[in-house]
Amino acid sequence: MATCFRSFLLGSLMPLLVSGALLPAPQNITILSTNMKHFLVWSPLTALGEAVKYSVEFQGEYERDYANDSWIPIGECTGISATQCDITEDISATVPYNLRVRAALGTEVSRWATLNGLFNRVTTSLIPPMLNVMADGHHLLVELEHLGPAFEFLVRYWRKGQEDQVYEKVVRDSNTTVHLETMEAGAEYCVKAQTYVEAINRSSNFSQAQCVKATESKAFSVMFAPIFFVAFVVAVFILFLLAWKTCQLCQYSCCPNEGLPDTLKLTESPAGILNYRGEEAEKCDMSVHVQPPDELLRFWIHDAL
Amino acid sequence: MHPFSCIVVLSFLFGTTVTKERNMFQFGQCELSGVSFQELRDHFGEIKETVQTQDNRTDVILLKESVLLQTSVSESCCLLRHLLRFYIESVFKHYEATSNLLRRKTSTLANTFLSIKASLRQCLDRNIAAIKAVGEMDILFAWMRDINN
Repeated sequence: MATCFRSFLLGSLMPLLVSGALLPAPQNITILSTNMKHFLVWSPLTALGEAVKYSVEFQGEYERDYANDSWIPIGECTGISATQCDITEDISATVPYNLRVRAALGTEVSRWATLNGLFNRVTTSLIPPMLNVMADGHHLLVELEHLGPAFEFLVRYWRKGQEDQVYEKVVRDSNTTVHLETMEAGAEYCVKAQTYVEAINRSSNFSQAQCVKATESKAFSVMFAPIFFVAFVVAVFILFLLAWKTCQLCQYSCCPNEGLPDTLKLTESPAGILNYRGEEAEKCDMSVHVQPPDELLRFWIHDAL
Repeated sequence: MHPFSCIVVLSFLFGTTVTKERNMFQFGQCELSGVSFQELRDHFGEIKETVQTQDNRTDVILLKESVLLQTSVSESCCLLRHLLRFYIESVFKHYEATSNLLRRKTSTLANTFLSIKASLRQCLDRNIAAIKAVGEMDILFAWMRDINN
């Protein structure tokens, strides 16, 4: 039925086209531009169905003022059935751009329909970034939405209740998870972020703050801390006991508690042994008593008197 | 000499006399914001290989890095403005792109140069510059005479 209707329309329009009447130009040409991604969209020529092909061209300030008012075709958007075109790659300077679209059906082409006004990428809508704030043990982590190399992020974070001390971190590579802070036990931290695009020197608004508390792993360690302490004390005691016992064993086997005879300790001069009086009694043979010569002399003198 | 050889040495133009402070670039008395050198280098990077392959006059270097480095910071604003003007009015105009992609990429560079040039308004007034140029013509004549001796 639809095919019938389309062929009827084509049949009724074709004579008009052949006779010189132009194909209607695309209408409602607008630009949707969010986060530095730009799309040109237009209303389809519904009456003619998918047989209509569209082509898009752009013109920067340079082409307008220095290159004879020329237009450059966008290869990817030449002869397409879709009614939108990704123009991000070509609108990559911060100057006013003009854009135009035309329709084609067979060999017939419409006139060019131009965008109402010029488009400068500086007007793009910058949306606050999406973030995922996590607490890994006592580490405060943040994952940022990946928006491409043109985007930087300004991350602000603070401890809940200490809003006067806000810390900042600039993140250039949003591909990785960023470590922000080592959290204090039991504290809650909040994080918010905004995007910054250097090429247009503009920032988005800040995202809603997201807060996290240090996870249970911290509480777990706090709960088991006394047990760990007791185990530590017991271990130290056992170690001390072992060391003491080992020392004792060594002492009995290697260094017995038996003194050497003093005679063996005197090595200065053989004469010294004779004069030495320290050893009153010989340990091994108590019956032998050696009198030093001067003692003998004294006895002899004493006896003679 | 291929006019686009200039583009080949384009990478030396930036990052020499630039001091960056809070996303603001300072060229002497001129302040530059809303310019991403990374983006510029990326655009150039996409056509660099193709353009350098087309350049068969490798014995000539148009833009010497040493010359740019010798330029004092106070002169960097005007030097950059004049260089950009040269690229916009002479270089891109004579460059015939061999493909649609090459044409689109050079358009991006040309338009970016226009946006940078527009920010360098504090450069010397054109009349003052003209008076200076006329006044210094004797240097030109001396050089013309000496080079033949």
